[in-house]
Amino acid sequence: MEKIKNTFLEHKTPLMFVLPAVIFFTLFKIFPILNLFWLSIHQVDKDIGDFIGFKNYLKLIHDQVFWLSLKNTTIIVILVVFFGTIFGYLAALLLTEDFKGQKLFRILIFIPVVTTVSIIAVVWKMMYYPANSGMLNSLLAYFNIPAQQWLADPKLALYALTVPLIWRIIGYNMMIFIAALKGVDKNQLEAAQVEGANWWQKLIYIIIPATKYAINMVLILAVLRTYKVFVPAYVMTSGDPQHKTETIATWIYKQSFRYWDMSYGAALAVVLFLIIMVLTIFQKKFQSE
Amino acid sequence: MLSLESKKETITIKVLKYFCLIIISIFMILPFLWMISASFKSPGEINLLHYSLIPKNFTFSNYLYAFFKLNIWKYFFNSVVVAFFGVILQTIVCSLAAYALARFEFPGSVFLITIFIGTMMLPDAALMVPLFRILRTFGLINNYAGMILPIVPWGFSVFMLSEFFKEIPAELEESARIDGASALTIFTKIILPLSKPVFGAVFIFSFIMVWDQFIIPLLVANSQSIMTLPLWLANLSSETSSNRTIVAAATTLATIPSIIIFLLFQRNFIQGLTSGAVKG
Repeated sequence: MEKIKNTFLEHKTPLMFVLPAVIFFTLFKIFPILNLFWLSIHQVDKDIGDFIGFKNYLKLIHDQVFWLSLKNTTIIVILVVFFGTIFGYLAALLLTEDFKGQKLFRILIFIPVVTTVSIIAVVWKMMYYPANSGMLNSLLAYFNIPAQQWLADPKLALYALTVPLIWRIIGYNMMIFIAALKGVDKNQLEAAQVEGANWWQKLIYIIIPATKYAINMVLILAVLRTYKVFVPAYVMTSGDPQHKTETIATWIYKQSFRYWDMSYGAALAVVLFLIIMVLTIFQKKFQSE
Repeated sequence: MLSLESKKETITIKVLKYFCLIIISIFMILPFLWMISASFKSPGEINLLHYSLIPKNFTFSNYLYAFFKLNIWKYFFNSVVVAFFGVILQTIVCSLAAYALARFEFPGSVFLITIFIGTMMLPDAALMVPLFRILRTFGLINNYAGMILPIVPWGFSVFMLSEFFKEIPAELEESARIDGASALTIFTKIILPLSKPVFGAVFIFSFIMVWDQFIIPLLVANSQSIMTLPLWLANLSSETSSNRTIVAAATTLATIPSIIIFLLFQRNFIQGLTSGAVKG
């Protein structure tokens, strides 16, 4: 006891400095995540908290909407990672060197990153307005393509939901790639030039290998950010039509706050947490290499 | 294109480059153009079949309606209150911790910084249920504090600030300590003035992060009078009765603060963003 007291007095200053943060982090981050596991194995509808074991996890295995939401989220992740990385890299290649208008283009491409997700989701939802007068439908009309239902079309909705997510990540990826491309060895490029390499060969054999680290970084960050996607899906479709755009996160929300089955919502959330955690560990391991 | 054709960039390549950039840029700003253009159209015009980005008859009626009939300023005010106190509290709490963790070694310091930064990976959506129950226990549902307090702990802020504090030479503090200054005095009188640039960046990130909040207000704000702007807008847009031109005017107003902040501080913003991503 005496020893603890002495250690405390010895480090009183830093401990007082971190104390507020410890309280806040514990209350709103650490405790919730620990509580989540507890909730998932107890029945908490009426706040009694009877132990129910792994009933919720069994329910989850037989929950078709859960599997559909996992599939939908995975499709979204793959599309966002693929197109977000390619367009981000392309934009970065075009915008690394100084030229007239470079700054303006960078700002235009980056602006979606700083806008508010939910507000931008509202804007896209209105652009997808399903009547003939909707903006995208009137664009299609120019090419004589019939009007689409977009977010209301079971076949199209998931892809329509994904486009704004790609749109919003391009600028972010671009900035990371620009930082990486600045570090590419100029001499090596010039040597290749002398030896008659064309731009494609330079891109494949010199530039991409030299920016491998940034590419991996962008891929992993995009996967991590997209698996937990909630706000755009909630605002634009709320999982409709027929759960075709349900993501893991919207399903957690609906189970917990629409059907008020918080225990089941918690079990779903544990799954989302585990997905993110496995991916993060994978990332850390990769990063340390 | 990154020295791909550094010696002789032919006209064709130049044209191609600008063409690609213009296509990408149009795709990026199209939603903003649509939003602004729709906000100046009359409800009749937006339902016309032949779409035009430039309104035929400019009208401010959507903005007036958003202001005086829908009282958008109320939700704007709610958002400002949450953002103001959220950013201030977050920066105070996180910078104190970051300073202690960057400067002192004490039992558990490594553990703490790992945990603080580690919380960055926790998905908000996964914490909805426990967070809601905690807030309910403390009676924080349906008030400002319920929307402000949960955003105070932010691993990114601790990370960025502690990285910066480590760079400040320790000798600067030593002499003050010998003169008998307390740690808090050293922090406010020596460290803070030296850290103006990094605080600039942290404030901007913090503001964008707080302004972007949706899940916590969704859990906390039951009654419309306390809703933040993003939450209220999402509700407005899902009411079938609401007119697209009015929603467009409201979204335009709601987007302005983030864009102004970004344009004013873009240099800090982009630097912080790339360094954070590469290190974190």
